[in-house]
Amino acid sequence: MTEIMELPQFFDIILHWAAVVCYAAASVANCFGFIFRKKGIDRIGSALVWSGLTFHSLGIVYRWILAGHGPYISRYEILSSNAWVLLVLYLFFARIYPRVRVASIVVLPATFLLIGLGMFTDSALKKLPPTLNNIWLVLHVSFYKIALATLVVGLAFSIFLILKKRSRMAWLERIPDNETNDIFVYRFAGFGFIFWAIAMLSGSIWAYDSWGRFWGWDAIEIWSLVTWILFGIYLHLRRFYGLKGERAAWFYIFCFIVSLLAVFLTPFIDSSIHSSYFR
Amino acid sequence: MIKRFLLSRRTVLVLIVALLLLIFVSFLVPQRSLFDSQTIAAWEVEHASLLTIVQFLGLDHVFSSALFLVLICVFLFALLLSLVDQIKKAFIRTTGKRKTTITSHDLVTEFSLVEVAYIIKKKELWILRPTNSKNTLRLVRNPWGYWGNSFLHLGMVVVIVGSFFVAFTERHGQVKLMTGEEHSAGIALPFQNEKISDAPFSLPFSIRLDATQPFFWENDDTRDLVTKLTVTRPSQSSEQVTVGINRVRNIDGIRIYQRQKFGNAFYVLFKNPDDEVIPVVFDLPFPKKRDVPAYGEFYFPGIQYKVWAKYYADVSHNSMYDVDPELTIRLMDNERVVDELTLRTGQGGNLGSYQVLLDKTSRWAVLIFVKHHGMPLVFLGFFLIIAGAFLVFCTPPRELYLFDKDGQLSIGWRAGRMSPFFQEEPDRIINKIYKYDRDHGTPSIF
Repeated sequence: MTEIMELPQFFDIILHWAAVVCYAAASVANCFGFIFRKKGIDRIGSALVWSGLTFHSLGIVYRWILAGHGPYISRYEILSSNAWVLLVLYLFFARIYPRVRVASIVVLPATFLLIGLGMFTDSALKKLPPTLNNIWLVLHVSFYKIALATLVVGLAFSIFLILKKRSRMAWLERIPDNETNDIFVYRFAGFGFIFWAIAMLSGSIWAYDSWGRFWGWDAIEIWSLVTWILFGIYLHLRRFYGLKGERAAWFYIFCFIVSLLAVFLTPFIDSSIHSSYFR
Repeated sequence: MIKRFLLSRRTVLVLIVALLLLIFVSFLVPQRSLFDSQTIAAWEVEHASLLTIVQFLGLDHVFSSALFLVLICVFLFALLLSLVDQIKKAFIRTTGKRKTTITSHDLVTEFSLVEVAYIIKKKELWILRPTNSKNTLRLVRNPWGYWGNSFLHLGMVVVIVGSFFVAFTERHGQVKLMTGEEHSAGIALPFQNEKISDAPFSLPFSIRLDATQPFFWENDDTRDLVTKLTVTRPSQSSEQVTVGINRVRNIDGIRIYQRQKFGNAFYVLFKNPDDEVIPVVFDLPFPKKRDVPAYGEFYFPGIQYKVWAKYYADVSHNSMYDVDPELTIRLMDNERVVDELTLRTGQGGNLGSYQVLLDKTSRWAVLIFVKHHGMPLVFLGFFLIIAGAFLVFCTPPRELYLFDKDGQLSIGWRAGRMSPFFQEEPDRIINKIYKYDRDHGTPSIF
């Protein structure tokens, strides 16, 4: 353990860059293979995904040991772990529901984008602030990552639904029919709704443990609640008003954009009690 | 009629959207609980035309405004009515004998109804539920899924009710104590968060800060902060307690939190040319790094200049553990430096026309005190929401009906939510029955 901790931090950077390259190549190969029906290239894409995930996992574990805490303190770590969770969750769902595999067209570029953006942030190791040394914080951030990952998969099917409605491109024939896309959006919105709720509630417990109040109406908390309510409205509209198809897809995309603001933008609002941890 | 209005889907959606809009407004209008008075005053000057409506509707304190309270109450009432309906439906679905008008497919098999049910239940959790016919069997997968919505909405009700309890009973205050300083029982805490109740919050016991010790990482970031306190009750019984970050203590129903804010107080004696001694305290936050000082700017009655102060955690500039902190004081006449002096504890010197002595150094820490009722209810609500959401989305119930009409068996399948997601299930079940028939013959259920 001591020997590992004495290795320079740049190994972490090298592993992450290796993952970035693999993911970028995998995105291209996957899309090319799917669109142009090149099974060989598709298989190369799959191999690149697993290679990238291996490098990525090693990088995260290595940095975890080096820093002494999980990947949720600096922006570099947050973006990297978001990308990792997204990919792992996608692979898990693709295994259980083979029809989800087609979401790779959106998931792989999103993974590459997340980890790639992270490579341009400060990768210096940060020590764990004492208020973050709490199991509820770990659960809080973990469930947000899972929630975001499920919402990205749902986003993929929303995009497919809209594309199939509005375009006659030949490769779209290989994407599931719009009824299936619609169901997948609904299902993943539901998953996202649950995990987002758990993330918010575990955050409340952590806040109560750390600051003596479980809800302070600060910017991050508000936007998180707004996102949850919006997805709640989406699910109610589907269930009780039969909102389906393209309109539902567009509304989902709107809700997804709000979730991105809640996760990535609001931590920078100074008046938020969270902001001191993200500067 | 009121019930129908409140249970109407449109009403519920309108309420949710109205709450959402109000929450969004709280983001546009600076809230008094989150921003300082200067920021709010500046916003009010810039948006003078909106001031009347903001103040009338309480948009500068949305979450404690009457409008928000009314909306939440109406929403809560609608939720309660909906919950009663949902519980009734869930109860009927779980225990009742539901109508069995359902499309069914014939089964070509010599198995009896009971034997087919046995095959279906092998390695799968299908639960037998009552029906209103001897020739019909009903099997349900995930019957607890019927209760998902009820749990989810019950959880929301419980959280809202619990939050009301907390909001109306909460007392929240802070005190900054130097080492050795005591805050007496019955004295209002100096810093109190704006809550619904304006009543001052005082402690039923005295609290003395005996020692506070920070711990640091190798890169000088704070790793932990531990404070030892002596709690003395009116009955004169004393208790030593230790509080740390993420180590909350509960004393007589009051939770004590350690804030991550701490520093050093330097007790300095200024003696002016008239031999008058002016004791002052330089109260400074702890330095962020071993070689970076902490700064402060002070004005003291009796001292004609502005005083700047800075200090390093340790005189060596090489340690965060302040064995021997070094204080530098500067007298400022506007931006002009009048004089400067660096001192360690016990040292003195001349600073301008003053003789100065750093008498002692003491560490300070900030403690938060919270008292309220209702948190267990809030946490129970959290648990119910999570359980309900899980049941709704991860365990949707499906039903299988087995009919025996004059010896001819048929099977029907139904799912409530997300039925297209389980489209393959009825075919899979039928195939399972036929496969069992081929592989095993008569199932040994007895």
